[in-house]
Order: sequence, then structure tokens, then C-alpha cells
Amino acid sequence: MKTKINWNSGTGKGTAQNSLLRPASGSLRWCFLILYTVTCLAFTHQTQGQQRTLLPASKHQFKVGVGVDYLKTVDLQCSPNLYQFLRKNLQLGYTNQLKKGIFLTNVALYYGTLTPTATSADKVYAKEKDIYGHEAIESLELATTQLGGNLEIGYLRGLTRPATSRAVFYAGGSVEENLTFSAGILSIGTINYVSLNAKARVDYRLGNGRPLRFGLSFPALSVVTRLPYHNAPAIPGKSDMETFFTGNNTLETARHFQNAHLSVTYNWLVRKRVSFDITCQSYWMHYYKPAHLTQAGSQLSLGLTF
Amino acid sequence: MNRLSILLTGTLLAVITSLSSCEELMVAKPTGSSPETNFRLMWEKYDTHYGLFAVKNIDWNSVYTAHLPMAQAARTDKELFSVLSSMLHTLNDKHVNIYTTSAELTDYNSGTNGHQPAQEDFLFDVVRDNYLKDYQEITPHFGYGKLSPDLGYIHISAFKDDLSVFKEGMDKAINSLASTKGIVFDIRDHSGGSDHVSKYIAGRFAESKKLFMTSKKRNGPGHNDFDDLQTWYVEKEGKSQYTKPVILLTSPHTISAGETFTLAMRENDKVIQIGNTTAGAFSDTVPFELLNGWIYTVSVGDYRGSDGKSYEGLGIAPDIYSINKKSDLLQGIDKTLEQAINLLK
Repeated sequence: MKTKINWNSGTGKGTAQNSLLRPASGSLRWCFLILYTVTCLAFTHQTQGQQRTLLPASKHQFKVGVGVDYLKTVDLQCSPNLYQFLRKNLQLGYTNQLKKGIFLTNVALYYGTLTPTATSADKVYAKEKDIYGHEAIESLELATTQLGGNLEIGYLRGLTRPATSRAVFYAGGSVEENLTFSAGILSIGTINYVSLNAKARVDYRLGNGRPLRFGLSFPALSVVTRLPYHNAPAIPGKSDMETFFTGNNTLETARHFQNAHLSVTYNWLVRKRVSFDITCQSYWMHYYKPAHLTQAGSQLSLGLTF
Repeated sequence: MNRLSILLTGTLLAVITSLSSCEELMVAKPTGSSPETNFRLMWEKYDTHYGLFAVKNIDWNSVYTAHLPMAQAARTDKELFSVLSSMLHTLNDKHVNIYTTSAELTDYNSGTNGHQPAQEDFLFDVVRDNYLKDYQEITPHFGYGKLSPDLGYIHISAFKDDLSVFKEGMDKAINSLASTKGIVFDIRDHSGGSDHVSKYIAGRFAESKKLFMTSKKRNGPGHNDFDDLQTWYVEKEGKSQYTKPVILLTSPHTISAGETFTLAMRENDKVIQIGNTTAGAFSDTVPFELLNGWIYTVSVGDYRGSDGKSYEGLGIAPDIYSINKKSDLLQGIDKTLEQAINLLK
């Protein structure tokens, strides 16, 4: 009697390798939801009597930044293996300080190389022979180039009144569009999503008077696009790209698409109207269709705001 | 420390921790790349994604039962490779391959029960050096020229470039060959590519709209789970069409999109296919990876001609058989091409 491996369920007969191969989606994804809930509760308890002290001096602010992401991913639609990814990114941002909140726009472009961690080998091989009897072994790199972009437009409303308190609280939302595309032998991590995010921010003034900014973002509702079940989106009359974007969109709640971002930013003025900042961000994403895709990563970025 | 400080400190620690170590924990690193696990993985992927079980009348469960003991007994990569190759051999599918990470084992092709054999019935160098008066290379896989002042020649060995390359290239080729009384279209070494390109180029020779192919692809774990049937029509494409006689040259190395192109061209009454039967592998093929890093490909679709017949594993037989001998080619003689030239004169 055969025993099928069931990627999607721990109740199948797949036993040992089944449970080992499933992404860590069962409990970890709820950690972010719980953390998010706790944060929101904390905000509501802390708002009274606090005052805004750390708002930017300038109404219009522009930011240019560069960063490095290190992430690990398992995309069961293509491979059961863990891939690691070092990618560089360029960030551009615009912030408008309004009377009661902050309007923000961020654009990021990134690229890098996905490499497998399961094997020390970095190539696969094929043998060919020509008409003269010459034999040649060709090789193909397993590493995959991945590139993508992210656009976010949002609004954060200030929850505290101006005062001398050390913390200023914001809560709001954003609309985010993200496309990640892998151009290699395997389409690992290829995904597009448009999400409506819940966002929160705390600007906390340290003892030296400089601010430490904490951010949290989590999608409440998303339209997620992945390659179809068969991974081959060619249909007559439409390009593969058109088929990808029009044929596989699914509206998802936070139950099925999780994409949590936590960040901490520290900045200081280098000139009168220019500040330098360093941001550490961690994130975790999980989606389940047509097979589980899980990513966890962290980003270190440096930026100039003027 | 108040509640806010605790929360913010916790957030800071979470971010800092993620920078150092816990990505792997959060995506759950897979383990246990044993021969048996890899065998089960591959069998399962074919079970849930292969599109031709019904067409080829294959009992995949019995294949599993027959090979599982061998997989359990396998201890080395070579033994695993042997078991997996034996399992895939039952599919007799030239689109099904295993590419290993070993330069010694290299690869396996199901349709040839081993490696793709050398092509010994066609050599483009022979055509270019001995028959073409003028050859314009658009890409290394695509070019055109003249066999005589009134006979044109187009050679395409892959549809792997962007469609726009072929649109521009076909404009040039058809403009250049418009005054000829016939064209030899040579795809004897065609290794495949995009069906969109197949459809477009065949449309540069079409005079009316005709169904040339249907396709459907697996969309679920059941062997009969397919998405909607797609219909592929060949119709007039581009600025102008070449509507004079065309000889299409094919061989057993004409595969995949080369074969869907053959299906489209055969709907044209002015096209005669000469050469040998094509490879017989039409479906889109998708790569997946095993736990040990080996790549394997799965034919996910069921493609058929306009007559509703599947040519998978069979290929498309020519109207006129003509098979070159290796010895002739090595002397610079392409008798199949010469036969095509004589037919067009």
C-alpha cells in the first residue's frame, strides 16, 4: 500500500517527512497576530495625557535609502528545499506631516540571488552528443535571480496630543502593492499581492533626546496572485504575464495570507534639515495556495531624510 | 519599567533576534533526504501534476508498488538515480527528465530511456555552407536566406526568444522572400519554446482562421482534474502573409513548440511536411526539485490536434518521408532538403 506525502495536512499518512516538510505556519503566524493585538491594546491604554513631541520639523519630507535583506524561504510549489536570499534594495519615500496625522508613500526596488541550502551542489548536469560523436556535459546553475518592487501608500493618525511625553502613538492603514519575480530554473517565491494593511507606529524619545521609532504592519485584506496549480500559465491569446495577473487572483483575509513587518528606526540630524537613519526590520510572510510559501527575513537599511 | 517600555523593548529584541538567527526556524528547514523520501516526493508530484496518465493508459499506483522496494533498498545516489529513471521510463515521455547534481550521473530522459541521442539526420552547417546563397541571421536560433533566386529558406531551431523578436524577424524574412515561388521552412532541430510563437509564425502563412490544437492542464490532485479546455486557432498574423507553397521539414528532434507549430502549419493547404516523424512531446513541462537538489520535469498538460487525437508519444508523421544518412551529411549532402527543393521547382 502506497503512502502519499500530503503537503497540506498533518493528518495524512505521510508521517515523519510530512510533518518535517510542512512550513512552520501552524503556530508562528499567530505570534504576529497576538503581538499586533497586544500592541493595539497597549496603544489604547497609553494615549491619554500624552503629547506629541517628536513630529518632524518639516511638513514635506523625502527619503532615500539603501538596504540589504537576508531571508530564507520555502516554496513548496517548486521545491521542498530551503533557499536563502541576500538582496539589495533601493528605497524612496515621501512623507507629508498633516495636522492630525502623517501621509506616507514608500517605493522599494530589490534584486538578488536565491541559493539552495539543501545541497552543496550549485549546478545540475545534462550530457549531449553531436553528430561527430563528441560528448559534452552541460550544466545549469541552481541559483535563481529574484527581483521585485513594492509600493505603499498610507495614512497614520496621531493618537496623542502635543505634550512632553516620551512617546507618540500613531495608528492607521496603507495600501501596498508588491511583485516578486524569480527568473531561473525554478520560480521560487514568485508572488504578487495588493494588500490593505493595518499599521501602527510609536515614536519613543530616548534619554539623549533622540527618537526611536517602532513600526508594525499586518495585512487585513489582500488580493494574492501566484502561479496556477500546474505552474505553466500559457493560454492562447494572452501573454504568460497577462495570464499570471488576470487568472490567479484570490481575495484573502489575514487567516490565509500573513505578512507581518516589525521595524525599529533610529535617526539623528546630520545637518539642519537632513537626518540620517538606520532601520532594522524583520518580516514573515506565509501563503497557502496552490502550495505553501513561507518567507522570513530581516533587513538592515540606511537612509537620508530631507 | 512601565508597560510601554516592556512592549517596545520586546519589539526591539524581536527585531534584533530576527537579524541574527531565526529565519530558518520560521520557515522550518526540511530534513531527511533519503532515497525513499525522494522517491515518494517524485512519485507524488507526478501523481498530482502529470497530465498524460489517461492518454498513455498508465497505472501510476502499480508503478509505485513495483518501485518502492527498490527505493527502500537504495543506498547511493547512483541507485536512487536508477530507481527514479526506471519509474519515469514507464511514462515514455521525451518531456520528462531528471537532471542530477552529479557530473557523473548527469541526466535521464524518459522518452529515450537515457540521454537524448545525437542528431544524425540534420546539420544546419551543411545547409548554410552548401545550399544557401545568402543567409541573414536574426538570432542564433532564427534566420532566413535563399536556396536559389526564387526559393526561400527559413530556419528556426527554438521559439525561446521573446515574441517581438519573431514578429520583427518574420517581417524581414517575408519581405525579403516575397518574390520567391516557395519557401522551405526548416525545423528539423527545433528544441521547443513558446506556443504563442508557434501560433504567430504559422499565422504569417495563414489565409483563414482554423483550429489547430486544444490544451488542458492539471488543476488538482485527481488524474482527471484539469482546468478548462483551451482552443488554439491559427489565423492571419502580421502585416502580410506568405501564401505560396511551403515545405516544412521535420525530424524526430522536432519537439514541443516545434510540434505545436507543425500542427498549426498542417492546417494550411499550401504546406507539405517532409522528413521524419516528430518527437511526440507536446505538453508544457514544468521543473520541480527533489530534496537532494535534483531537478525533474513534469508534463502538466494534455495537448491534442484539431482532430481531437493526442500525438503524445507518437509524433506527427510527415506527408513524405525522407531521412538523411549520417554519411551523406558528413559529406555535405542534405538529400531531404534537395527533395524539398525539387518539389518546389
